[in-house]
Amino acid sequence: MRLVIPSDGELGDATRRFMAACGVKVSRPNARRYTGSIPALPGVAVLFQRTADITGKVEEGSAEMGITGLDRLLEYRHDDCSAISVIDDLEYGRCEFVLAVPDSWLDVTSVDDLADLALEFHERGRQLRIAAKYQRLLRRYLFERGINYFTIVPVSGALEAAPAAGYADLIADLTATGTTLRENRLKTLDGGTILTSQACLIANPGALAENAASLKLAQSLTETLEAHLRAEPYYRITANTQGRSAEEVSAMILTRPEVAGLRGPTVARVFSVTEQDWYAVSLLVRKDRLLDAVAHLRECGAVDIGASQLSYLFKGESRAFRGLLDAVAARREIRRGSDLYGISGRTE
Amino acid sequence: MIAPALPAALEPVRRLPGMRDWPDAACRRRDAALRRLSDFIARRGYGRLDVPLLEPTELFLRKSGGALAARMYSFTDPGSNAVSLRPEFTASVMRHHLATAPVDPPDAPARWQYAGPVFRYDPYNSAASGQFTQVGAELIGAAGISADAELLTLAAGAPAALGITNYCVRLADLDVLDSVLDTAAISERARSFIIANMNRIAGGAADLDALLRRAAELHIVAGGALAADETDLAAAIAGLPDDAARSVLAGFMRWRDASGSSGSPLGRRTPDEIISRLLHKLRGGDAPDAVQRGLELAARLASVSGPPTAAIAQAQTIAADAGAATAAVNRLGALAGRLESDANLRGRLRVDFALARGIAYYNGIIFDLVQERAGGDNIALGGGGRYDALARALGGPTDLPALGFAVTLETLLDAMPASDAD
Repeated sequence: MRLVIPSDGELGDATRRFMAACGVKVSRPNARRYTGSIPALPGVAVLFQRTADITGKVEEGSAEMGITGLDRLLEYRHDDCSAISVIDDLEYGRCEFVLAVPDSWLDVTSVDDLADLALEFHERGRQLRIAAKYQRLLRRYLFERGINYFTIVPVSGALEAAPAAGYADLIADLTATGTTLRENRLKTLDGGTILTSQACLIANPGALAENAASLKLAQSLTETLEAHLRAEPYYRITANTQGRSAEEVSAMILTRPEVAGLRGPTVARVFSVTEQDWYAVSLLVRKDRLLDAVAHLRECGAVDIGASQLSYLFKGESRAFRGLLDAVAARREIRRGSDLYGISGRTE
Repeated sequence: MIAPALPAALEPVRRLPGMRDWPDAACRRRDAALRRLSDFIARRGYGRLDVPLLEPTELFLRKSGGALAARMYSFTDPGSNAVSLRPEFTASVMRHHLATAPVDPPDAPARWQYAGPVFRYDPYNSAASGQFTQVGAELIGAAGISADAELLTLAAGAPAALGITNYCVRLADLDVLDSVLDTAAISERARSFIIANMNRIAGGAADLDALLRRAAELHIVAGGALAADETDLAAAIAGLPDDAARSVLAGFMRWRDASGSSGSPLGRRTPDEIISRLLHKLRGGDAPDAVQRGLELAARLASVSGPPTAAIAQAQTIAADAGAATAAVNRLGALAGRLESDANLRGRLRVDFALARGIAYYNGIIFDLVQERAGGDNIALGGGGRYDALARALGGPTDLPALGFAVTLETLLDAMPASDAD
């Protein structure tokens, strides 16, 4: 199974950090090699590519899976969707694709204003010109809002300069913090966020449908990443507490269900040399509830309260992998019933 | 290790979606139908004109704006020109006419017919996506009822020329809508908004409320929400005459600009344009009552649909009730009367004002050809209308009376009776 990941830039570094944190560290013999491996998942070959090329590599099947930005997947993939997103949000590489107009446009504060302005331009025989990083996403967004009269000016690099240079009226660009926009005297619009993007795990279900071994590795990788993401918001808490019985201890802790674990605490007898009424409590709490949970456990008489980061949280079934399997099954179905030579088309 | 890039057996290369192959029998059937249509149109005095498959994208943008542009096969050619496969013929025919007309006698109308592939790309509707064969005609340089009647009878005869009988011609007139809207005291913007939404207006009262709210959001009618600093500005200019309000806003704009480290970009707008629109927005647009009245009049008109005599009478009543000029509706009545005497239109003509939706550059009559199938499914065979403003949009010196129609050959072939099918 081939996994293609960004070779460079912010997303490249962040992807390698993320994979390492998930326990599937990528090993790259040296920085000039464009292949690597994942020692924890033997059989997975890692390809390093420019972020812009990753969607294409997965679509053409030269890799079965990949990690790229959701923005790049949605902008570059073909309409027949030979590449799909398996996990939409890997929780890094966050950015927004936004519309921004000159700060001096006092009359334009929302996308509705832009719709009105596009009509005004049209009535004067002009077209609103938009310098855009991604044409396809922008076009769909504008049409869905009834904005039909505009021209997209393709620009690579310094988009923010286009309105000052006078070759575009406004821009549609990626921004993480908005600083560059503000420095160029541009402002975003109410309702003007075209897409909130982040890193995502993608796959070519058609390519995976052909090889059971690859599909098995795709499952291992998908489940590992998903379980790590699921575990991230939680601490595992362990504590010792005294009580008459396990039932009494758990009843006391359950008086506050929001800090009593996903389905309630696990309570087990501690076989102490000196005393007989000690119980060990173990539960998962959301990170933002940690101190709340500690206070509650103390009220329940707990001592020796430990908290540790959970590495993985596997559910009864992996939702991400189920989605991928469904897509793989659909591809197999299409392949069986397909009109390979295109003769029995719409003509008859 | 990395597996070899190519699997053992190569994937077959497939046709693109929306494209079709035409084996021998299908080709013969298509070519025969094309010949019959072309002969039929030629007998009415329309000469052939072929135009390029590939045109500058700008040509179609000027005609239709982004709505059609989104559905074009557009790309950059090896010489870095923005080009598109044609999505229709009308813009190219008009381009040709404007380039060649000066040598023709200026007052002789031009009659062109065309046939060939057009391309549209619709990611949401695969049936409307791909390559189609369009056949049509344009009558350029002729105004008046006679020209309308000539083109309508030609269009209505096209399906009949292929032996198709179960279709009807739906007709509306944008001038009638305009004359009724003249009685509502509304701005051009509000009028464009209403015309652009005729298909929703026909939907009923809930849609009217929604449209009125949308008009407020767009600041077409007063009462749209303002951002916090806009409310302050609105208070600052309250009660001032327009000139004074403009200089207050201009002063505010200069102050804001000076407070930054560098001058603000403007895009391609002038400070004047920005201040004019800001003033309009802060002061509120049209009175909601007036726009609502416009919407209600349009809705009454949109509900008119049926055989010409009854429908025209209804439209006359609506125009009279509104206190509108009746010239346009009387003209439509005269046109319908003349069309009823045509063999292909007798009993087939419906007047249907819900059709009168705004399509860029259309004015006057607008029509479509519809095949009514069992279960209430209507299949659009083609359509057309008058587009006097197109010439100017393509760089002509003035508006030029022009109208045309087009049919989709693939749809006609599907609609042809079996006896004519071979």
